[in-house]
Amino acid sequence: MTTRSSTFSMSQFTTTTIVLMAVAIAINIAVGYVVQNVLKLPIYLDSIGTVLVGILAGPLAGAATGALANIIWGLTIGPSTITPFAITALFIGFLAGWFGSRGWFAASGGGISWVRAAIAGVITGVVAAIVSAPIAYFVFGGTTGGGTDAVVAIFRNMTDNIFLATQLQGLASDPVDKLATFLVAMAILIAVPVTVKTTFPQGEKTV
Amino acid sequence: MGFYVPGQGWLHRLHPWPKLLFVILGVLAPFLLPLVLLPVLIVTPIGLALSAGLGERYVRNVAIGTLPICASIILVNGFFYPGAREVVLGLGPFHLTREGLAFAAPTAARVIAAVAATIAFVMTTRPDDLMEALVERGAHPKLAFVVLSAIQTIPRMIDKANRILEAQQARGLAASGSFGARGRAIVPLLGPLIIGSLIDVRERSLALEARAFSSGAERTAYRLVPVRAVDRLATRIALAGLLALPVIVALRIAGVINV
Repeated sequence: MTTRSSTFSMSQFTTTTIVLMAVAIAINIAVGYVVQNVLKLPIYLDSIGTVLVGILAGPLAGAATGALANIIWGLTIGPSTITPFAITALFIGFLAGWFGSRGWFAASGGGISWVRAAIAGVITGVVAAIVSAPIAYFVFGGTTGGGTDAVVAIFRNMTDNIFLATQLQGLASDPVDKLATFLVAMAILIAVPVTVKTTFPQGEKTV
Repeated sequence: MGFYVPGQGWLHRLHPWPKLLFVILGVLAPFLLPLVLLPVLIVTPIGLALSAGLGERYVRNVAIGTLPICASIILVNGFFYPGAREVVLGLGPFHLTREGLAFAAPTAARVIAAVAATIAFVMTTRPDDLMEALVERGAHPKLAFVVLSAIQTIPRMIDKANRILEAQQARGLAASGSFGARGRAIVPLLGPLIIGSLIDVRERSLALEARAFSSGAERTAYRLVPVRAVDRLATRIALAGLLALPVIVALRIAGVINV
């Protein structure tokens, strides 16, 4: 059973949470691979693991998962340029956990929960874009090394300001990606058996 | 998995703790120190890595890690730098500008320096040894578990994803084609992968609990990396460097160093 006060306490790091975090980090990478390399879609969905940890275990666990996922990804297989965005991932996991603690992803909520999940996704996406912009600007001169740099170029033509162009590119892509991520997370939480969900600290709030 | 390659060079034998301090130094220094030092900061990690026998693989890893982002930095900033006047090269409606390149060059150099240091570190450090070194110095053992378990699970998860893809395709799932078709493939592909993994989590945590995972009792390590005198010396040098960074930054801000 969880109480309000445990949302931000270290008690959310139960053994089950710890195992979930490790699995979620691997899920992030595998999903990123499937969506980008196999399905070749213009979204990433590579924070789905972080979001699920946040919703099921709490904001602190979500934040830790996000940060660790980026660091591990950058240092094992991926381009190491992902690592500075661990800060962004931290915010994503924290917000997912916070929205989860408010019961926004309760399956019993029906249609309203889907709307809430969508809103949570857009808000998280906007925050992610705002947090990422200074990182992209100071570390990478406003680019990311991916296909979205074409968008950066377009925004640079439109505005006179590198920082603004970087920010606009983020705002154009992150909210869409996080909206999709939160909706997929909602779908998954509905499909997961209740007995499994409730083994996690915030799991009951998703029933 | 990942970048680590077993080896016998001096970087491999150096203790993970000074190596970690050096990579932090190697990543922060390019962004905090004066521009004029950038060539040194690029050549040093590369030189050290090559002298430790990391060879062609190291160079290839650094190249793969830096070429896409540097190409982006140079092209996007070179052609689309606001307020730039001096055109160096004109390609139709696009102009490569001197100001853009002047901004892009140090930015790209910084990334190269940081990546060179990082790759030298990950190629010579076993994750187990690194996590053990951190736990010895006060990190929570559960953190070590998360990191090591995640690293081991990544290849299995990708494997699982591929098998689910094949299984679903054998049932008629279209994973290519129109945008809508690929979008509709998200749930049949990710659903089994993620839900299956979540159900697994319960089993694995029960197994861990049965082995006193959260008992808090003191744990011993299977692999121990000895701390030699040269490791202690390296640690002192790295710490000195890390302490010098904020001093130099403060001097730059105060205008004492004008580079």
